[in-house]
Amino acid sequence: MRARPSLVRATLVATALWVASPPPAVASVELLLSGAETVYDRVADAIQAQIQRLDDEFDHTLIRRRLDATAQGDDVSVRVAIGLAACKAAVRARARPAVLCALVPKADFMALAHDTPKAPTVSAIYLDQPIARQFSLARALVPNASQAGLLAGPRLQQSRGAIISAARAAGFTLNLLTAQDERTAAAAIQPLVTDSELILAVYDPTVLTPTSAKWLLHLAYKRQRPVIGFSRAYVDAGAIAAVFSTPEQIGTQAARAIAPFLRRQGSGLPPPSYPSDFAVAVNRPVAAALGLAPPSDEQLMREVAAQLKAAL
Amino acid sequence: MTTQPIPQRRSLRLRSRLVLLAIVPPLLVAICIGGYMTHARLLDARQGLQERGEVIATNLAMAAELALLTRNLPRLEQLCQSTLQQPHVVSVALRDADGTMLVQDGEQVLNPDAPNLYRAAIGTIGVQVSDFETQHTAPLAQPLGFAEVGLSVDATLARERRILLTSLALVGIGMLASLFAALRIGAGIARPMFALSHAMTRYRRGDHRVRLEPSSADEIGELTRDFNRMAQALEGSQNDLREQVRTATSELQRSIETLRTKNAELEAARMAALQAGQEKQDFLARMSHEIRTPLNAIVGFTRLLLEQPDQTCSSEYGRTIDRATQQLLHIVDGILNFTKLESGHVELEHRPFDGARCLQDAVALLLPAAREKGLELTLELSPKLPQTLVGDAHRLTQVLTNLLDNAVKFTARGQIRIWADYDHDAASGGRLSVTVEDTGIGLTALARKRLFQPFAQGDGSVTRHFGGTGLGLAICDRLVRLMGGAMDVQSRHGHGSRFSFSVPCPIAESAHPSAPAAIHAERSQHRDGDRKPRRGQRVLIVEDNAFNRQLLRHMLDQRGLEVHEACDGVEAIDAVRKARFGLILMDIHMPGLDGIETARRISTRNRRSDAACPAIVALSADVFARDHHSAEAWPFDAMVIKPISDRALDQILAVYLGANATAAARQPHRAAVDAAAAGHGPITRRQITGEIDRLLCQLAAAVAAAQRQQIRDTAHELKGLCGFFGYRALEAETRALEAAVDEASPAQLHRQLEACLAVQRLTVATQTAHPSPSAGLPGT
Repeated sequence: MRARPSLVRATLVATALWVASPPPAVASVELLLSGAETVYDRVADAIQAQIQRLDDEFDHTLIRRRLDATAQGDDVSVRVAIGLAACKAAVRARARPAVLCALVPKADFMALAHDTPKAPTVSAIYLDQPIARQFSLARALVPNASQAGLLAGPRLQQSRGAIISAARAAGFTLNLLTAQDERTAAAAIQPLVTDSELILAVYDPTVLTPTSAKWLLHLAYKRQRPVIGFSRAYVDAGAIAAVFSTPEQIGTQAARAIAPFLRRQGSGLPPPSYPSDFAVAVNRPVAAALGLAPPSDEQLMREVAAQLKAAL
Repeated sequence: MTTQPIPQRRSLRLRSRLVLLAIVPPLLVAICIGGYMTHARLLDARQGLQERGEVIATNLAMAAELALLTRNLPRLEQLCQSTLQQPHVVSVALRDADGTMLVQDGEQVLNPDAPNLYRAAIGTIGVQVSDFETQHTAPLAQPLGFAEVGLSVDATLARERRILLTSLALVGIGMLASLFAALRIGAGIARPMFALSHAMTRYRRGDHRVRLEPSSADEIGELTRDFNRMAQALEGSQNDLREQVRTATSELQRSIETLRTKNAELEAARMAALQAGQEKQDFLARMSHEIRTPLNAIVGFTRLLLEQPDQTCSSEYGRTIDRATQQLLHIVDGILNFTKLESGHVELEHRPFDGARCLQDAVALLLPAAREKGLELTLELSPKLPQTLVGDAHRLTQVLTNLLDNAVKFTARGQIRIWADYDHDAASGGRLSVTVEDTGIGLTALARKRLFQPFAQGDGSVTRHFGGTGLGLAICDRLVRLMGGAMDVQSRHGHGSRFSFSVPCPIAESAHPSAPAAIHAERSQHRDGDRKPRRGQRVLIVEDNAFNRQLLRHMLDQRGLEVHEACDGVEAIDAVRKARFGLILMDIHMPGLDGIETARRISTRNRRSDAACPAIVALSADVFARDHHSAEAWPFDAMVIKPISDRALDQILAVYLGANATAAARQPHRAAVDAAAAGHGPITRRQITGEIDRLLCQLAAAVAAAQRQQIRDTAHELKGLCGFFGYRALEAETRALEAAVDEASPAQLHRQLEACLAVQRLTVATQTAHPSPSAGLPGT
């Protein structure tokens, strides 16, 4: 088949114009997803949606890329790495723009940042919630409780003081048990449940595995102890309530974090932080089984927010 | 219709077929279903065992999850021990995630792939903790370890064995039940079928009464009822056929019997006919002899009279001719009497009569003959004999006369004894018995057997020696039987005979005996011995034929009687009106007023005038003349058959006038005829011939004129003339002409007239060849 002479000529002209043009003047954003899981896309979607809302004022380009893709742009203004794997890849990249990791555990990001101290502009929005939110939620749910139990793995043991402070701020006496792994965690669950009025399940994959989490729920329920979680999934599994941030809330927060780059008003990113926005979920049948009557989710949200504000 | 043969296969009995039919399908079904069910149950058992092992292992895994998670080995051991307590669990083991044995109890199972070893992962199911789970934090994490439970193989094998045994037992029980049911049902079906088959065999062998009791209302019962109906119908048909055969056989037997009887009767009849034919031949020979003997005498002595008109010898010749004539008349009279008896034309009279006198008169008739032979004749009368009896005295006299005649004939010397008895107690109201015993030649056994058969005599020698027709005893027997009596004979050859008969004769009730005058006369005659006839008594002759009148006149003149003549009935009535007669001799067949009507009128007249009616005796050549009329219509007192013999005339005269017949008997009327002159004298042959010629001419004129009444009257007159004077050939031809006058054609009448003329010409030619001054009677 013979190509048309006009179409070939137009293509050659366009190529010549692109090669001869100067560097772009607009900011470019790359969304690097750790995988194909939905949660990553939901975060990316929220970022993109938020950026598009800002697009009326600033020109920018947005590139969404998965971690396993071969093409890689080095001239982006800022790279949003969604997920721990993408974060690691972005931090360890040779050409490294500003990197904002989203949806990464705080402990893992802290360890990654520790391992790569020369990273100029790396920040993160954590996956996990600040422990004070959970104590506030616990207080809102069980106002009369005083003994709160918490199983801490090796990562949380580093924040032992903060945890105790947060508990105290919420009016609880903390029964903090530590474990090194799943097996020791399982052994600690029995006394934890026995000695606490309520238990806070804190994100620590080392000790809070699906199995240990199951036994925690099982034994706590057996003892009529409410378990306060950190995810909607755990509420669905049997926890009485949880405080958590949705991917959209994290994406929106990430888009706000990279806004200065888009406005070319600065070159830095906000420091790593917990998600600023959060939500609560209540498993009301479990609450009813435990003899509790929690208020509505909005009321809880207001009470938690109020307590957190008061604690500050 | 043809019967299609049923294809024969290897035959099984019906019951076996039914048993197979009832057993084989259930057996196949039982094998298939039982096999399938057994297989399924074995699979279930194995699956159940597997499930049980898996459940136990899973339960153990779930129970051991926390203990394994916390490495609580005592707890794990406790779990293993408790698990080992469960049935059929022989080994329990808990392994780490890497396969390291943590706890083990029971039998040691070295091979992890043993068939009854069941494994369950411990801690494989957890809960989702984070909303942002990655792969390593998924709920389905690596198992914590493994729980292994080993179950006993023996239990499995025992259960499988039990299942198999149970299945086999059920199949066996089912088969036995099916066999039992099949045998029962088969027997229920086969038994009636066998009974039906047996019944049909019996029926085929001839037992047609075999029936079956319908056992049920099903098809077999219907079949049984159909068989019974069929057998009933066949039996009915066979009974009908048998009955028809029996009837046909019976009819055939009856027919055969009838045929046999008929054959026997025919044979008897044939034998009788042969016997009768033989006897008739004998009779004809005898009659030929008996008839020819007097005829020869008559002819011979007549010729001697003609050739030797010597007055000295003529009287002797005349007496010889007269005896021969009397003998001949006796023979003819016997034949006629027997013929009348055989034809059933004899009617008996039932009139009161003096029994003793009747017997005495009969004896008196034969007394002269007995005396002539020197025989003693005695009559003995029983005191029980009533005076007056009712019956036919004339026939009784005839019977006794015949018996006495035979006794006199066959007794050369000695005596003849007659005695009479009477039985008052007889069922018929009184019975007269008469016995005639003689000392004659007696009878042989054969003669006694054939004694009452007609035309039979003792033997040929008897006939040759004594003569006779052989009809006398036959006539006696028939007369006695006709009177309701029976006749018996006892005799020994050479020692005499005893004939007896008895007839029913009731005693007359207040009636005077009207014994025939003849008997009275005879009795008086013999009682008086030589009593002379009463001369001068008037006798009227009523006869249309002049010659007959002339002959009778001559015969009566000789007996000293006063004779008057009348030519027809009118003259006779007129003569009776003018004078009184003791006796009227009247011809029956007369032109105009015939004899019967004339006699009836005379009787009627005399009764009206209360005058004594003279005896009227009919004269006729027809021996059956009396039979043509009933007793009421028969006005005559007696009848004499023409030609009139002196004996018959004497008997008539003796009966009705008391005249002595014997006196006249010594002068045969035949001789008197020859000596008779015209008027009151003897009649010459020429006169007879002339009279015959005149009548023939008159007859020829009537035939030519086809005047049948004239022919009938003239022929009758000519026939009477011929009969009176013994012209038998011409009489026969004239009788034939008279008989044919009503129906024969003129030509036939003419031919018959010619026959009469030819006979007359032959007679005249014969007389011309033997001329005589006083012509003799024509021969036959």
